[in-house]
Amino acid sequence: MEPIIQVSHLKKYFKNVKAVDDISFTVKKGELFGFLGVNGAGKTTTIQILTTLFPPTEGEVNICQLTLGKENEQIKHHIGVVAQNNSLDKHLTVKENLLLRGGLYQRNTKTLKEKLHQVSEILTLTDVLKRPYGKLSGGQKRRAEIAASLMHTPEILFLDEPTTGLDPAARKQVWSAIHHLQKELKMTVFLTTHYMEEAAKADHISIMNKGHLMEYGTPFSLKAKYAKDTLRLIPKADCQETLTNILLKEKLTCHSRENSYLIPMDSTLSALPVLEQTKSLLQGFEVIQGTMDDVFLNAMKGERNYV
Amino acid sequence: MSKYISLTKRNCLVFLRDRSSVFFSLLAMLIVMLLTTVFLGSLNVTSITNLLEKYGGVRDSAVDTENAKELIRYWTLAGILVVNSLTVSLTVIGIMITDVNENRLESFYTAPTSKPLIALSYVTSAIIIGTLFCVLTFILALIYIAGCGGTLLSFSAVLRVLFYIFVNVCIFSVIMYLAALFVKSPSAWSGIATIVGTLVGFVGAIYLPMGSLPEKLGNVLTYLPVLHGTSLMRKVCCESILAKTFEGVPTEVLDVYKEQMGITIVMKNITVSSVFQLLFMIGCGVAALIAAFIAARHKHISDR
Repeated sequence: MEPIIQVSHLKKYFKNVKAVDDISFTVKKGELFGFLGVNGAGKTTTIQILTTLFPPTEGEVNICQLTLGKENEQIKHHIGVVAQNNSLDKHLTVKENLLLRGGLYQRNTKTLKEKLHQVSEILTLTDVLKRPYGKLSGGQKRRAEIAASLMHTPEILFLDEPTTGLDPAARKQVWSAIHHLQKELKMTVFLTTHYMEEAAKADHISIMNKGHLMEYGTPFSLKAKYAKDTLRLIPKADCQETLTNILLKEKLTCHSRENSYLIPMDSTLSALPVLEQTKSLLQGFEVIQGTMDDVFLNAMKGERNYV
Repeated sequence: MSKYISLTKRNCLVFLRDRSSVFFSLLAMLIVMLLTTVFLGSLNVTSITNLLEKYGGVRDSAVDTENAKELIRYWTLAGILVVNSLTVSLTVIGIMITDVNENRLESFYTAPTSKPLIALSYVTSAIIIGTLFCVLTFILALIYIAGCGGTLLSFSAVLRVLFYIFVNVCIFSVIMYLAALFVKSPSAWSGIATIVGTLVGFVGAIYLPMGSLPEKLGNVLTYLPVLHGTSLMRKVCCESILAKTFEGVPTEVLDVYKEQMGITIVMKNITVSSVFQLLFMIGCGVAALIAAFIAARHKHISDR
């Protein structure tokens, strides 16, 4: 896949604050790119630079083969932006909001109405088009925000924490829409989120901390690096001592908790020999998968591994 | 052009759909109407009939009272039109502050629209809504005056009133836009709206005639566009009924009355002409426009 966003040595300083400090990364066309970091890490500033809101202090950014800073007006036609906070007008209907936002990109009323029909179908907003935006549920509002950003058919969609504050059902609906945009319309999605299980759905992930890019990779590669699986063994009532002796003999690091043993594993497959050796002593077992939460927390603790 | 129309239409719709905004933008006008109905109107009518009795010779007091009432109705209408042009444009410009505060402006900036175009759309919507509300007020007031048995304005006077409405609204919209560039929160803006709504009645010599204000304060007010806007409007609205009411009264008395009621404005002992007043107001508008242009250039969304 060809790169659609190329960021090279990007810096943004606000007086003495280094909000973004020398970051470089590439986003490939059609991929779902997860941009993670704690609050204040520099994610939103980076998005604001990429979406032409702020000029960078230093560095080079190319979006759709257009140079940021020189060809901003053209870049704006290629990007759609959904900010952290809802930005549509609460007193206007969803239809009015979408048509007015679409009107900022093109003047043809017929094309606008066709686009309205199309995006409201994709984001399942057809039934609420005539309702005032302010009366929608949280999930409907976010979908309407996404719809507004799609009225000019952008190639790249920037989503800044699109599901924050939504209930699980609403989050699922928003994600279903995001998947549709990426898979069916081949749209590149650049996403920031605080929900690590959502980040796991990305094709590539970047983790940012204090203005630096700490890690970059696929969820699988980052999990392999930062998140250990854990084998939990639950011994039979009279086999606890025997099991302890076996684990000590095999020099396996383990922690006991509530009559069970937790053993960190390099991979799920590493659990097999241990289980084979101890199966007669066990009442039960489970393999607890490493999560993106582990990846995030461990990557944040560690050194800067990606420049 | 379509982007500009889209943004302006959006601003107008946002204002018109918010009933509380519409109500509060007209609150100052409602207060003026209430005060006039309760006591200011009768006080002003009495002062006219006293003048006519003193300087007008032998007269029909019933006719004088009717004429005086009609004069005060037109005098109040002129004031209301200026109050509206200021407070309505102020409320519409407030949409910009809400947009900044709710990060809505950022979403406009990420679209291919220029910042001056977005700024112009706010000022344009303030001008459209302000003019619309003033024209509606003007029509309703004429219907009321006609209903009370009063004489309607001539066609040329109506055209001049419409022109002054437009000039007032344009100038106040630009001044309000300039003020809005320095305000960060909607609550601060509504505080300003409350102060302006209250002060405009005094600054424009609408609650009280100019003659009732302390001399120094009166002199300061002559350097504000609101007073000249009100004066221009009063000259047109009251022209015909003044002549009718003060028929047979010495010109000197009429001149003093006009000055006392803020129909004519005296600056440094000279009664200024309508042309001067119009140019003064346009000058204020142009100065505000230049200041707004300079201020907006130095402002960035990060500052807001």
